[in-house]
Amino acid sequence: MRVVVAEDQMLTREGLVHVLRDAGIDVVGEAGDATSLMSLVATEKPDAAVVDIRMPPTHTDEGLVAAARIRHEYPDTAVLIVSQHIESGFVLRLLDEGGGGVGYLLKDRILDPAAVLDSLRRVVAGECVVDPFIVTRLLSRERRTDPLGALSEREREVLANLAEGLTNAEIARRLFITERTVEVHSRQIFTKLGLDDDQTTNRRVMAVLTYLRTAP
Amino acid sequence: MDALALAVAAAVLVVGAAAMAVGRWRLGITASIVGLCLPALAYSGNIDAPDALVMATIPLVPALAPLAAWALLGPDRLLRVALAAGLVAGPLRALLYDPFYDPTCLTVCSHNPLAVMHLSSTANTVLWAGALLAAAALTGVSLRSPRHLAAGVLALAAWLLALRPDDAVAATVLTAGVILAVGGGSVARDFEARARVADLARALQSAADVEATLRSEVGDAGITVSYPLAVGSGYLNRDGRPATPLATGQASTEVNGPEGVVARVDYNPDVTSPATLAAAISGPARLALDNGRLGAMVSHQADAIAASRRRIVTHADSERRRLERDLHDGAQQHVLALGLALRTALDTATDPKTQDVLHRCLATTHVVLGELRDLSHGFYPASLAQTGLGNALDGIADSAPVPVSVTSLPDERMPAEIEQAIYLFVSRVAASAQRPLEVAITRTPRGVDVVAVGARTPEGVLADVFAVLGGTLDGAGDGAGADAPMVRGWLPLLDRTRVEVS
Repeated sequence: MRVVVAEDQMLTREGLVHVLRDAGIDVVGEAGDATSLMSLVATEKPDAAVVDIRMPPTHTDEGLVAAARIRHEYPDTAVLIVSQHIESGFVLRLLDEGGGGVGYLLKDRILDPAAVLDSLRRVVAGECVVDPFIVTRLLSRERRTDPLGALSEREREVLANLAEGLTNAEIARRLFITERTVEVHSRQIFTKLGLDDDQTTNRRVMAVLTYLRTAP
Repeated sequence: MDALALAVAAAVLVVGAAAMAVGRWRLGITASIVGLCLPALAYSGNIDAPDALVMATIPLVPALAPLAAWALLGPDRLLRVALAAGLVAGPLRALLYDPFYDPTCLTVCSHNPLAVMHLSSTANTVLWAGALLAAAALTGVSLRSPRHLAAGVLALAAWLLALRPDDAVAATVLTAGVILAVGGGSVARDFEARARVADLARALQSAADVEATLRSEVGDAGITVSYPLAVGSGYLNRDGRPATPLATGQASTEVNGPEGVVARVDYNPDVTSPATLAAAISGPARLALDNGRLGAMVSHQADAIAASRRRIVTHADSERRRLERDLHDGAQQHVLALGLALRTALDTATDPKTQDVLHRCLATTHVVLGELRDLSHGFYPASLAQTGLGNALDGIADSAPVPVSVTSLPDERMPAEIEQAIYLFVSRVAASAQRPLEVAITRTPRGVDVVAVGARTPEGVLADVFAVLGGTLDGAGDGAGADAPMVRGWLPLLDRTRVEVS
């Protein structure tokens, strides 16, 4: 797998590259800002770009803007955003602008090479990835009513996995159940929560995340 | 009649003596004089009275009424004039007047044993001259106060009755005339006093812009008024801002008060003479100038306090951003590098004990990274500037101890400082809330309303943040009653005047 890395902080970038190379990934270029990232992507046509959300010049959301452009201009290059920000708003924006093939990981995950590799593999496969910690936070949010109370424990597990962007097959593998059972659970969840069950992965994830963000 | 007059006189004299005995001197003297006066009045019209007694007493009568008034009212220059007129006119007439030779005498026309000359018409002229003078003086005294008026009118009436004992009707008409004159004078004086108060009030009203008043009064558009700083040198204009220095061709004069310079008035010497200006800045204008100085000082101090508060709030704001940046660029990066090093070490370590320690170190690293992230988010949320309030407020709801719902939010973006203030507000009230929080943010024609139902009154620094932006913030209810506590804020969006911090 050919990957470019964009990160303005030297220490983190080196660490990230090190982790990826150790895992046998071919890091074909490193960039310190969004502009050089775009030219790297244009020349290298990598399978994926690992991009820090916060880069020069404004150090705010350059990574998100670059991700949307990459997904739009180079559909064969997936984007994995690494971010210090635990904001679901950023995730939704990424999913909305990038379609499938995008992921949002907290930077802490760099310390867990397996998770990074798994996420990379999934985004390259056109799926989307949402950091589990962000999903956990959304699920555990204080609410006036308890809409999730209507779900069974198993359904809540499936919901969390759905929100992380996993496919039915992956959820089945994780929970040691059949894919068919996952389908039933997911249909139940969407009915109970009153959501449209769109089978496109990123639409489904967005629906779930939006629900979790806005349910009172 | 005689017996009654004598009895009354005796009673009044007793009262006077008693009053003096207990130390009420003024009442005592007054009563005594009136008591002495009454027999004279009674006898002056009595044909049987010994001529010498009547003739000796009557001249004193014109002096008695002013004397009585004196005793009642205390010393007064005009009373002295009236008394002198009575003391001169009465005895002088007694020496010149002999009723026997007076062709106009109708009733008591016996000889006057005291008369040295028989010049009746001259004597009457003298008496009337004295009477006019005394009347004028007594009228003047009457104008001083209601008490003076009463005493003065009584004295005048008594005096006129004494002068014309035979002609009660004429005396009554005269008295009524005098009372009317005095009363009218008093009303006129009241009127004038009220007009003066109105003038003063107008002067005080225009004190807010004494400069404009002076300009229009003097007719010099070049007049400017400035006030000295209480501490240090320098002058302020009426808004409390530094005054413009003296322009070329302008002259200036300082207005001094008991505590030093009250104001400096700059003027155009070609248009205004120093004398004209001096006249204009005397009297009520001086009071107005001093008021203007106090107003300028208050404005100056209020400006200083507002600027200080603005500096504090702005500083806190930039500090929060700086801390967030420092955490992100420094600590977080290094802790992450530390974690990676630990990971590498873990990959190569073979000793189970070492592996265990490294695992624990790595776990702690995760905790530290999480805490740093929460900390930096609390300082300044990354999504605020880029994606607006909606996402940032969502972040608050993610970690708040109570359910937080945003029931309304304007679609359009607002100025950064307004969004920051609202974010800070919601994050603070959410952190301290003890019941579900409902936040409504709505545009108003000139600003934005922020209402947090369920919020407890936040700390004062939030009110400062709102005030610095020209808004308001106040809490309602403490949550003790059935109604949910509520905090309401307002921030202006249009016509916002904000003095930049220098």
